[in-house]
Amino acid sequence: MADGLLAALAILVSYLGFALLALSQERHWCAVCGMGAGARMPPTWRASAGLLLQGLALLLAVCAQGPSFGGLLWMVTVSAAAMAVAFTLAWRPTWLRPLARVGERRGRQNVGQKRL
Amino acid sequence: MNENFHKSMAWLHTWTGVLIGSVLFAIFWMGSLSVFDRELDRWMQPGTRLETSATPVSLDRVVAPVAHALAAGSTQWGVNLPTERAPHMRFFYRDAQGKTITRAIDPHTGQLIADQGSKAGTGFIFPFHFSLHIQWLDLGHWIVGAAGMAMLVLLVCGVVIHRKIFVDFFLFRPRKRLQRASLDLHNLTGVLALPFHFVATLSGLIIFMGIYFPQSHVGAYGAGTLARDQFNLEASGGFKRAKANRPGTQASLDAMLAEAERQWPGGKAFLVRVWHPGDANGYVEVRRSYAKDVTMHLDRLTFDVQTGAVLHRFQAAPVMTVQRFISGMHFIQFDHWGLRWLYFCAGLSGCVMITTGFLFWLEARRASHLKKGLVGVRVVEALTVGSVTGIVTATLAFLVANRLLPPGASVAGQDRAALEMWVFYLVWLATFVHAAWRRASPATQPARRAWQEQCVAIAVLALAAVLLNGLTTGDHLLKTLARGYWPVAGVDLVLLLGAGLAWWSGQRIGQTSARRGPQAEARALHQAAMEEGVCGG
Amino acid sequence: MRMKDLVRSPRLALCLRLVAAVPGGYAMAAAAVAVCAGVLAHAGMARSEAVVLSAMMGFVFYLLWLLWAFGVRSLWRLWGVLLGGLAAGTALLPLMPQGA
Repeated sequence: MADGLLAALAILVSYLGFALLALSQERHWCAVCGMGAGARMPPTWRASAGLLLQGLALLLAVCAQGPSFGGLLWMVTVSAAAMAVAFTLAWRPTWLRPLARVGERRGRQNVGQKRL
Repeated sequence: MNENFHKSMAWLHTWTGVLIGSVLFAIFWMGSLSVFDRELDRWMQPGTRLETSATPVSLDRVVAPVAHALAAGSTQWGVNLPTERAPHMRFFYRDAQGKTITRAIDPHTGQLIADQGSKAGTGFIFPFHFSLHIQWLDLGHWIVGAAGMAMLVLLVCGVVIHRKIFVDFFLFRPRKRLQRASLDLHNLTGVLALPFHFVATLSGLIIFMGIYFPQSHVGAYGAGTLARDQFNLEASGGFKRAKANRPGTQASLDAMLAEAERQWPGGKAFLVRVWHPGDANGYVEVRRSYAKDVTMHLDRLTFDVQTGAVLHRFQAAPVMTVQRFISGMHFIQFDHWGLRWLYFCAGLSGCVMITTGFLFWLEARRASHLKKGLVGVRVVEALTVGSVTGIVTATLAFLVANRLLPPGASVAGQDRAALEMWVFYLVWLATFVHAAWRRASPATQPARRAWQEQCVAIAVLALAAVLLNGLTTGDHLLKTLARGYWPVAGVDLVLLLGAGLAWWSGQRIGQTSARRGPQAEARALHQAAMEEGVCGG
Repeated sequence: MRMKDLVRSPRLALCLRLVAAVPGGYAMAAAAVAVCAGVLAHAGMARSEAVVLSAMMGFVFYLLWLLWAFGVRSLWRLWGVLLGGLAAGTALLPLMPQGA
């Protein structure tokens, strides 16, 4: 039961990671937040966080199912999670709006520094 | 990157894709289905729809009498023990002509299950995946091998030519026109599932390294059959002992099985085989199950048939174990439903990748081929429809025929199992003919009617299969869901889902054609009229 | 000059490239696998292990060859490497110490 939950958590973490990675790209940021979000560039921490979360997903998968099954599971769920994010962005981009708001305040602070 | 290199890789990707795409789709389609080959067996062979037995089966009480009855003078006989996905025992033996005969035994009653008259998943779908059922000169294996290498090339040069691979990582614009949407989806399924596609293809080739590199041992062992046999013995193990040509007794097989499982840490057995049964020098081979591991062990224990003493132990060496791990990543014989479903979806994503590749190529070249009077697009379009919706239709016809053919049916010397396969091939051929007949009209647009009609055929056949299963076996969906008999319920559910998807696709294709608008319609008609030489001015 | 004119025909050039890439590459890969296995076995690796390792690597070798064969500009270079490689393989193979 516990490894089933850990595996499910791994998939969720991977999905959130890819969503953050997508939000670090201007095109998807605008699609999620609406064009009225202004010329505000999405902060770059999202890309690093997105990649880190993939690493966390791998750790969770290996803890749940051992190195061989965990590694294999991660390899396939990473693809599934990324495709799920792509389809969310294609058909229901507004679903990711709550995630875009995460760390928003920090983002606003950084914008001032970025406009060089 | 060098522009010339980029152009070469683009050329290579396009040409390889167009030439091998049809074969690759067939391999990916049959491969995806093979993930559930044993579940398809349950669906197509209703006599084997047994519950998994909780208590282990006694070989001495259940199998030995069957062996005595069927395989008395045989050179070898054996049994595949029941598993979660294959609840019946598969008894096999070599007949006088050296052919292997397989019979199913119900482990609960010890009775032989009647021959189901169907090759089903493990006998038709799965071998189609790796050999296309072309046995002449092993040509099928070689075509699949060549397609596999082509797939690896396609993947690498696909990545090389995808200039904006990171920028377009999550990009999918389904509402754009067909050429744009196809390319987006092609890139998406290609890049995001790249680890799966690459690992699946390379591991598939590695499984058959003995066939694809038959001379690999020549440098280390020398040439000739003796050298080859020596290599096989050292790599995969094996034990041979000549017959004594005098009768002998048989010790308890159950005891040997128990001893083997005791010696393997946490291990169970999957196969027990008796060599030279009835002879004093006979021996019993027990193979270790890999239901709990990715690696497909070659672990075996060999016992003396009269005393039950251990004669020989084998375990694969490290590098061979790696080869068996890689093979295991492809075969997925382990018990893991999550991974099994993920592999199924990943395989289908490969099918989408191939289809969208074709759709993109067709739309990108449609106008120019029309202008230059080339038949390329028309030919490739007919081949694409037959290779995609065609093979799916044929597979469903195979399932429907399985439910409709009476047991023991035989036509022109072809038995029931062969007749099912004939239905598959004839329907597949018909879909190509249909696609060629329903070519694009007007020629500036895709062959919507061909695609739409085959989508409708898929929806109808899939629904028919589910209904026929309920009617002919009594295990309709409500009953299997209530009982929790997932192999059959799962197949029925996927069939219904597929039917829904195919129906929806058919509707969408039809709507797009209607939505084109009067101006575009007029333009297209004018173009078509010019093509046919009936020009008004 | 005649040879160069011959090779200028794009159809012939394509044929030569295809032959060098596909069957030529397969021959190279098969030869490389056999020689590599022999060399590894001679270096101390267990014979069956050496063969399995080389055979697995053989597919990667063939893939790299195919990509290079279609990417390299000069047909002369392609055929040069192919013939040289096959010659080397044929020469090395009988030299492999065999037997237990």
